[in-house]
Formats: sequence, structure tokens, C-alpha cells
Amino acid sequence: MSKIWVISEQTATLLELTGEARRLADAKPGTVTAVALQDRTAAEAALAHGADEALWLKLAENQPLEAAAVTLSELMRDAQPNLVLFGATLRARDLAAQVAAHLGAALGSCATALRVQADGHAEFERIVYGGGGVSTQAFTGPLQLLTISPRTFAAPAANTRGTSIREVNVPVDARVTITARKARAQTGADIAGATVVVGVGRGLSKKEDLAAVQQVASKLGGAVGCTRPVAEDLQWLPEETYIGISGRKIAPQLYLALGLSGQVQHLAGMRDSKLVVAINKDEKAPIFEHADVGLVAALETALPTLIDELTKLGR
Amino acid sequence: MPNVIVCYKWVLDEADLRVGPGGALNLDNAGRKISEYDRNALEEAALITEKHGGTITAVSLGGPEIKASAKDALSRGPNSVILAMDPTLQAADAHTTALGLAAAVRTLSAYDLILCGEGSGDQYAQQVGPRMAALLRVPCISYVNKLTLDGDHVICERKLEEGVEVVRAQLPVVVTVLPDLNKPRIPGLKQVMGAAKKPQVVLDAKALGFGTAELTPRLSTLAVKAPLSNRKKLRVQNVAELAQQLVSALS
Repeated sequence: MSKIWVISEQTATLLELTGEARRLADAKPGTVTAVALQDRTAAEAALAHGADEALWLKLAENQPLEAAAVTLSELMRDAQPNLVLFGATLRARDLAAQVAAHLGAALGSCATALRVQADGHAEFERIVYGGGGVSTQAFTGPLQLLTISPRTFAAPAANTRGTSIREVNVPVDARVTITARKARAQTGADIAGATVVVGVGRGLSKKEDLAAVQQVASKLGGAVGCTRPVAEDLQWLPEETYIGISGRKIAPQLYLALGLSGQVQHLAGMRDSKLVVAINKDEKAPIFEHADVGLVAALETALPTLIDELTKLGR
Repeated sequence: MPNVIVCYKWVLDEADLRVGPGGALNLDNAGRKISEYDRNALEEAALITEKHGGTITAVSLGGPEIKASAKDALSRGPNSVILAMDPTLQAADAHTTALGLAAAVRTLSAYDLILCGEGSGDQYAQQVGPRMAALLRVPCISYVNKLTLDGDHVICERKLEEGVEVVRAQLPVVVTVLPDLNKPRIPGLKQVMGAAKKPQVVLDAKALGFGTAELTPRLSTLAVKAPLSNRKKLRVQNVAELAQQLVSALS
């Protein structure tokens, strides 16, 4: 009998994990416990999508999510789950690491793939060396904790199993108080959901040339993204438009990479693009190894020509 | 005056990665460096003590290879370094690393602030800071890009997916930092020379109180390979051909 727990402060992520846990539990067989961290409706939704039982951890308004670590680890020490899946949001990664430390348990961080063997042992894959490697790892002990990126699994169909929600109050940690929350101002394009993305790197020699990049993007019906140095060092484009392992992950139909060398950190953010087209003046740039179509050219000359050619083709 | 501890990892330089036959990663000739975000932690400690006084102790954990890191770390501002160093710690996972760093911290008489990078340049598991905080029973404030000391409290801005969370916490705390917190300065000749004179303390596995339980890895690595790339790698000769490829991809 296997016991799988799923934990997220985001309802959509909790349901995705619940769906996957249900699939794994049905194969064993086993039970699924969903842990909601923000509101009761998430617990109710999990019960309607495959969870056998739900826990609702209630945090005080001024407490960070991580304040639930001790309570959560005590609940897990009692229940002894075999596999615990956390949605890999930033807060939940911190929470999961603290829970793992309290339990002396293994934690796999930001898994991109999960396989559970017939005996219940889990193996997972994760990105290492800033995107330069994929590591396959296995747990050596019986308590297996894992954080998994949101949207790794599809949203599950309705499947009502249990009805009971257990409410647990998380004691206030008086040492820590949230004094303010500021929503992020959305200034850049929404590149995560775009079907066409044009990415620029340091091969763009001056900021004024961004206008030409923007023009190419609008001719292709796309959004402009960039590499990390363009956003963080040069600050030519908003931070939420940089693509990479620590920035946005994109999966467009078409990714046009302009004047970017293809560092592993950037590649990790654009790997799921369907077609990759690259322009770089250095014929040895690594981006050409990760592109379907490549052209060796300097951007100063290639950009105006590209705008003309796209116009000729009716774009 | 605050006693600041900075934890850093002596990582393999991912720029030296080579892909061998069958996509296996070859790191045999890779150099080592202080993990990027840990340099931001070291810089922040230097900024804090320049403003408030106090001391900085750097702490690292690993195999004999970390001996070479001490001078680099000490040239960035710390007064001394503790090396939790033992051949058995060479490939320590996050569980063992956090236990070892926490044990090293406990050898100090007092501390106010422990700074770590939010993740390491090699594994980027983002676990060691929060794990240490849990083991030491102090709060962890993670993903911080602004930090202000206010008496016996710290005020931190955490950069999260949906925005900024401002947290006020009572010292001692663990803070994990983001790269946009500061710009680490590059040590000059004077700092490098001065580093050679600063004290280094070595704690082996026995001195850390480690037995089999602490040293048993909780995770085992089965394989590390280069990510698969199945791109067509077609070269075109001019912009016109490229434009045609772009347009046909959209039709």
C-alpha cells in the first residue's frame, strides 16, 4: 500500500499533482493525500479531482508559507508517506527543503521527469550545471520528497473520491512577519505564452537597434525576449522577458535567436521551442548546434535586410 | 556589531563542460570557482560589516579540493574561514552538506546572520540554506534582493513569482540571496595578499561529529548527460533564405 502526498499553495498546481499521484496510486494501489496551503477551496478541488483525503494548513495572514515547515514535517512523520510531490514554486522549494531537513529525508529539486518503479522506488531527472547537463537521480531511503515544476502534468478530469478535509492550524512564528506585499508590475511582453518569440543577446551592439528587433517581432506576430545580460546588466529590456534557467521558460512555435551565443543557461529556457532559427556573426557560436536554421551574419546589416525581406514576403 | 557567516560552495566551472561519446558529460579537466551567487553573499557580508562593523566568517564544505578555495574566499572580505573538509565529503548531497555546515556554525560562539547564495552553480538544488535554517532552528528568508539590518532585526525583500514580499525577522536568521542583490567587487592585489595571512580552521568529518548516518547520501546519481538536441542545424547563406524559412514556419 503506497501513500502519496501532494502539496502546493497554487490550486492549479495542486490539481496537476493530484492527477499524477492518482495515476501512480491506482497502479500500486495506494492513497492520495492533498495538502492545501492557502485556502479551503483548493482542498475541496483536490477531493473532486482524485484525492482520497485533504489537509488544509491554515497560516496567519502575516506569515510566510515556509512557516508551515515544522507542522508539515510533524504531519508527515505521523503519516509516513512514501512519496511527496511539491509544486516547485519558489516558496514551496524553500518549504520542501526545510521539511526534508526536519525529517532527515532526501529531496529532489525541480524534477523534470518522474518514474516510479514497481517496488515504489522513484527516479527523477533534473537540470544541472546551469542547463549544461541532465542528471538522473534515485532515492536511497523510503521517504522520497520531490519538487516538480508547475505544468509538468496535465490538469486532471473530475474524479471525486473522498470528502473529508482536515484543518490544521499552523502556529505563528513570532520571529518572522510579512510587513508588505508588492505585486510585480508587468512591463514587458508575455513571452511565456507567445507562439513566436524573438530573443536578443549581446550581439546587439546598441540599444537603438532594439527598434529593428521589435519591428521583426511584430512582422512575425511575436514577442521580444532576451538573454540575462541584456536584461540584468544592460537593462535594455524588462527583467520578466529574459529567457533562461533562472528566467522565463518558453515553448513557442518559432524562436528567432538574434546575436546570442547560446550559453547553457539560456538554452535551458528555450529548449522546448518547436523551430529554432539563429543569426550570429560567430560561426562557432554554440547556438548553431541548437538551431534548426542558422545564418552567420552581423545584426547591424542583417536586421534591416530581414525587415525588407519579410515585407517582400507579405509580412 | 553583527557576526556574519557566509557559506560558499567551491563548484566545478560549467564553462569547462565537455560532451563525450553518447552524450556523457566530461568534467575531468574542469576548473573550480566560488559559486556565482555565493559571491553575492560574500559581497553583502562585506557591505554589511563596512557599515555596521562586526566580523565575517566564511564556511565551506567538501573534499580536499576545497583547500584551494580558502584564499579566494578570504580575499573577498571574511576575517577567517572554516573548511569542513574530508575525503568523505567530496560528493556530499544537500542533506549531508547542510548537516556539516550547521555543525561548523555551532563551533562558533555566536552568530547573527548566515548568508548563502540561493542556489549553487552546479546542482542549483536551492536546498542548503533552508535546510541549515531548519537544522539550526532559525528562520530562513530566501530569494532576497534587498537586505537591511535594523538593530536585532533584518528587513528583507524577497523576489517571488508574483512580486515582492517584505519580511521582517528577528536575528539570527539564514538569508539566501539573489544575484541582483549587489555587484561583487573583484579582489585587488592587496586583498589577495592579505588573504594569505588570515586564519583558516579545518574540521574533518570526525570533528564535525559525523558518523555513518550523516554521511549516508539520501540521493544517488545514476547518470549525468548533456541535454539532447535534435535540431536540424541547416545553414542558410543569406537573409532572404532565412526570411523564407521564418515565413514558411508560420504558415
